[in-house]
Amino acid sequence: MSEFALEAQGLGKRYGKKWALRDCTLNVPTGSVAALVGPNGAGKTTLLHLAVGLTDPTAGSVRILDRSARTEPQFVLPRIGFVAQEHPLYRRFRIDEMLKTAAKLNAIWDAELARGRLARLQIPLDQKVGTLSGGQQAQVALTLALAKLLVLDEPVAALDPLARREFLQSLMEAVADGGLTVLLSSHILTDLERVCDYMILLSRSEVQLAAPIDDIVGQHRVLTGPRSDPSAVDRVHSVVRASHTERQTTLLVRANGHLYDSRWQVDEVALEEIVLAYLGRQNALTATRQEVAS
Amino acid sequence: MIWLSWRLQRFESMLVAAALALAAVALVPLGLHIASAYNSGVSGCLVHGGPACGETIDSFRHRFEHAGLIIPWLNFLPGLIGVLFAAPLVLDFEHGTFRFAWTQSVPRGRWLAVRLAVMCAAALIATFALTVLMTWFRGPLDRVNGRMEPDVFDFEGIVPYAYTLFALGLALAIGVIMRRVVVAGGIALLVYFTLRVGLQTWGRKDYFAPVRKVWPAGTSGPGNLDHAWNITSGPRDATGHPIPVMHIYNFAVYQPASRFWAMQGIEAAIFGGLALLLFALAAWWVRKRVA
Repeated sequence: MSEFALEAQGLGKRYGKKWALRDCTLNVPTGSVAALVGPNGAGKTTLLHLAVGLTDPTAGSVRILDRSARTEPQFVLPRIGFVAQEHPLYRRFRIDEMLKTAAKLNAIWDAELARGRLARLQIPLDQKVGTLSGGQQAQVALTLALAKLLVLDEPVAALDPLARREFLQSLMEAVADGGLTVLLSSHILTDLERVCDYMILLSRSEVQLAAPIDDIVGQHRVLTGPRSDPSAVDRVHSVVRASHTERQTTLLVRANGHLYDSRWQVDEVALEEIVLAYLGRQNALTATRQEVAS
Repeated sequence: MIWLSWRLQRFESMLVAAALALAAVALVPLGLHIASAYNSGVSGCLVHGGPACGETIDSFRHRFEHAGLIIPWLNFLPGLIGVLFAAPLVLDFEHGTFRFAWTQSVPRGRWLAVRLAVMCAAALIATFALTVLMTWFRGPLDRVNGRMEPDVFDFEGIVPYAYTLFALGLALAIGVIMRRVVVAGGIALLVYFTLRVGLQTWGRKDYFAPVRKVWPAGTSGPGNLDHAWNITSGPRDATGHPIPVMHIYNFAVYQPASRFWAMQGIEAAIFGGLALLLFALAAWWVRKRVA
């Protein structure tokens, strides 16, 4: 297996005049559990659909398992598992009929593994898919998809907090058992931090961050000090967010190398705060643009 | 893939089977009645002729003149069969399950080809059952009246298959574009009937120039008139103008029975050709535009 499970180079997708995804360049290392985070409409689904070959890029290229899912589906598709948003399954089917479907449609299929997994989850095989709870449907969809590389589009979005936790728990067990690579998207960060080790932050069709979570947390700091102009700091490091009160300035910065400055109090910052800062920055930029325009 | 395609349309297949069973329940008792009346006298008359035969045949014809009252309603069936068998594939796009199918190992082209083949096969088998039922039901009447009149023409020969495929293609094309199975089915049925009725009313009689005959009253007219599709007929004057003062002539504009297969071929080609175009549109849309 190559170093990267997913590589995108200048990837873009345009629907009509609107770019759903623009100039996306990123690498997801093999073996990582990567979270694709961003608000609704940021382009997450588009990126995942491009990756698994459900749609064609307008610009750039994307490779999954070192191949293109579009030109070499017979190589790529048997080796990946994709669960689309709202985990679509045939509602009229019983669970065992879904298993039979997966067995018939897939060149590589481990029926024992799937049955064992559903038995552990206490999902009865003779029940209709449509009568399962959202959490159970998500579990069935995941079971059908299990492969060396899992691509999951908003797997927990529709689940209540308990089901979300259980789903992620069982996903982690599968990862631990099989050494899988996972790429999952979500518009909420809650719970993801515990299961993911890599993060791609997507906002307004563009990649804001793509790095191991440890690196992201390690590089970002909050600086608090007397009110001042942040441009001095910005020359060395990059200021993600600056906020001022009458006497005090608070900066969230991505440090470029070691960060020490006696004028500032330097604190670590939680991942969620960093994500919010990046998303807020996008909004601020847009607001500025609109002000300039008007 | 074939198992999956069948399983996905199992429910619709049962609905279609139920609709056909209902049609059979309505037609079989009456059909048996017609057949027994036909066998007692009429069939002998048609083969050997005899005294009083004209009267026997006329009374048979008269007695079952209204046997076909429900038949125009059965025109719903090919449309219904088509729309119902298109529904599972449209549902795939409404529910997003095509994304599930397209990320399994089976290539997208084969997935689409097998799905289309299985739905067409099922629809054609159902239409075959309908055609067999109707042909049996109408058999005795056809031997007396021919099978050129719309109530018969629409259910025998090859046109029913073209109708079904047309409705199927229509529901499919609208369905994959709109991704709404109920709306697509409704629109498809509406368009289906508009075109069927329109063509039957204004188009079909001119597939070939109708035969026009004028003959003096009291003489025997064209021999094949009983089995023909009578478009206009009645007493006229010698030039074909209505209501004469003195010399009454008979007048008929009709499509003779000998043109049955040629006209079936034209009608089937129209609907079959449209069906092919609609299938091509649906397949193109699915392969290029969806995702």
